[in-house]
Amino acid sequence: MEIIYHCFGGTHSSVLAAALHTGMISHRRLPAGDRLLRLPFLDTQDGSNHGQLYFFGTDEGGNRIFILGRRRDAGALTLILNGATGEEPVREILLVSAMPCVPLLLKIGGFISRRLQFTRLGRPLVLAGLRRGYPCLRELVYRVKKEVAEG
Amino acid sequence: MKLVYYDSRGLPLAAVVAAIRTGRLPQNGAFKAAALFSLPLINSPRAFVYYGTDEKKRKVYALWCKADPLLIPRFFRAREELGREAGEWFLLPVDGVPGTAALRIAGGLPVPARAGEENSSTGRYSGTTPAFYNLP
Repeated sequence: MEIIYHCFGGTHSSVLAAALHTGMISHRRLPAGDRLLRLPFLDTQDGSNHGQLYFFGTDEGGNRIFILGRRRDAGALTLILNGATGEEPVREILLVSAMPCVPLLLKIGGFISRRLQFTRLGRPLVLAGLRRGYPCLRELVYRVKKEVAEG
Repeated sequence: MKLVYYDSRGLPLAAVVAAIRTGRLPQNGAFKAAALFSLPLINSPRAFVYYGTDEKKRKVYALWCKADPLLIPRFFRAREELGREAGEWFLLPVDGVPGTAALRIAGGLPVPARAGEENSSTGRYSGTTPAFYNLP
């Protein structure tokens, strides 16, 4: 199965969720800021990457994990990837929005760091926002894994 | 090859064009409102619908959904990567169609043809594929 974590920019919450899912970071404790910033794609993507699918890794069940930034167009993404009405989906795809776990602090930090390119100012806010969103993302990943395991 | 007519403004114009392409609606634009409203999911604010095959047996789809026009082709590329269906989807935007042309089609009025396609005796559209949904 292919699991796609998506959010506005595909560079913060979806990356953290994918890292949690693939076991790249612990479910018990969020690592320090410098280690978080070493995660692939974290706070590196900009508008030109939106809509592009990035392979993140494979989980213990062999499911392939992807991330994707879809701006505010989750509806279009779902329509296109789930396939046309009346047709079978090509492959088993699970789309998971990480947006419900994004706190305001992360939105502001992400905007400053990615959109305005003030990385020095935005990154501390991004890290604080990720810290705040971590429990929710951990819960989200737990539920996704449970759903996948139950088929 | 699969043809997708899409409208990123969320208008079901793509459905009308796909219906004409697959022969569900006549090409000369002479159809009634009832025929238009009987198209699948036409009242839905967004949909991705398989409409059938065209004269060359290509599958024809319509997609309408309010979205960033830049992202729709990228989402299809993502779909191609996931489904190993590289190069299968041929995307045809209809959201650049002028409003008058859209209204002509939706209202069942004759569609003006491109230069050389107009019937000189009647001055009306000859019945071949209108310019904006003609394949390159």
